[in-house]
Amino acid sequence: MPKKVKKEEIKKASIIKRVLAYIIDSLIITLVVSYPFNNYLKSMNITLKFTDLFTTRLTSDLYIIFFTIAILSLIYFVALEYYLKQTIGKIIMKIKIISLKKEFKISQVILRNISKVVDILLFIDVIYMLLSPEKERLFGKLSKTQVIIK
Amino acid sequence: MKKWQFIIVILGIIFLVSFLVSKTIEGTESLKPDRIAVIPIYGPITVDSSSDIFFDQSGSPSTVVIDAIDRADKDSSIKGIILEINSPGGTVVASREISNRIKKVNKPIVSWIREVGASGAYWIASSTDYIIADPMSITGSIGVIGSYLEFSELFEKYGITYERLVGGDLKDTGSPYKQLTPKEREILQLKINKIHESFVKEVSNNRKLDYDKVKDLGNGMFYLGEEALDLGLIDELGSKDEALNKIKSLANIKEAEPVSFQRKVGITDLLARLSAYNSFYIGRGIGFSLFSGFKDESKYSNILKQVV
Repeated sequence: MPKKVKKEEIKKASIIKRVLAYIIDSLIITLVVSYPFNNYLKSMNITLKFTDLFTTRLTSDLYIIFFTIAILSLIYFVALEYYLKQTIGKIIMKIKIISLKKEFKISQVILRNISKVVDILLFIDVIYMLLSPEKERLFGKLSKTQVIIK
Repeated sequence: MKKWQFIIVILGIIFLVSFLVSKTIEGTESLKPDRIAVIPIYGPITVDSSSDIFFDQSGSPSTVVIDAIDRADKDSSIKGIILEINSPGGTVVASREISNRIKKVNKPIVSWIREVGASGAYWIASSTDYIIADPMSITGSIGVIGSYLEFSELFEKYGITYERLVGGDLKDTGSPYKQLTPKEREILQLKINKIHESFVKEVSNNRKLDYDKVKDLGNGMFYLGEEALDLGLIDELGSKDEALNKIKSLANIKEAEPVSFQRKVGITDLLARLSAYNSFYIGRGIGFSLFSGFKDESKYSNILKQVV
């Protein structure tokens, strides 16, 4: 497990790098997690557009689909960040996460990523990041983790 | 395990789980909730959308509407169909094709006429189980139109003459460059009368109305929703809510999710639709197919198609 990084070694990753890494990860998730449901949703004439989330009534099949996508997306982020400290997006952008505590626990990784699969939490997270002077996500701060340049 | 090997394994597991869940949902009927298909019929009703690059891609091609009806009919989660109609009509063949397909559907179908459901669009609506229309909507217009502009005198003024070269006396019937002969006029009028009679018969059979009554109503006049209700051309005044309630009661279901079976509209479709709306006027009628039917036979067909 990663050691606690000394303060002088930390060079925070810029917001642009973090956002680009998130976009790359989102594309990968769309391909690997959401794509298998494409045929079914197409046959039901449902698209997974952002606006549809507000206009489509969630029926039992859609609940299962959205829940599966959320859980698998969370697994992607948690597994890669816990074991590698990086996701594919972060590898490409040459950034990684570190723990600000002595230990690096899986609960920290789950907490820092939970907002990525719950839209309302992501909204709060992004607003907090934009308003905070250090440009940190709320759930990044709560989990005592930080994204740094590798 | 190396970094990239680990990533590939994780992605593989995630994809496998996602794939298995999707297949399980697809195969489990009980997971699929009851749905109502809402199929739009907007703009001019044509046979297909592939004849011209831009302008014939507008409106509602019968191939697209029939494909949507087919999908809705085959899908076990679809318990009923609402045709959302906002169309001034279209060609005889396209209207008849859609009407015939509707008659073969084993699920309840309700027509919901919004602003306009006239002529060929009314023909289609008449073949459904129930018609709901807005009180101020335009409906009916049971008639056929084959009028077109004729330019011979204008051309004469500018010294342009029509050199008539035909094999077969009636080959250039309907050419905008010459006046109709009495014989040609009689022939075209007979064809229009025949289509009109067929239209009246269809509506009479579909709506179970007396033939003579429909013939009286079928003078080409359009009727407001309120008038159409009194005349028996529609069943109820209302909006989408009434249409949904009716389809639920016909399908004997309490709850159902309306699902739009709308085809994806690109920017060219939108532009084409705007253009097509301009070229069609209220209850334009279904007779223009009479002339567009000459397409393979006459080089004037494009002019006729646009002005008829």
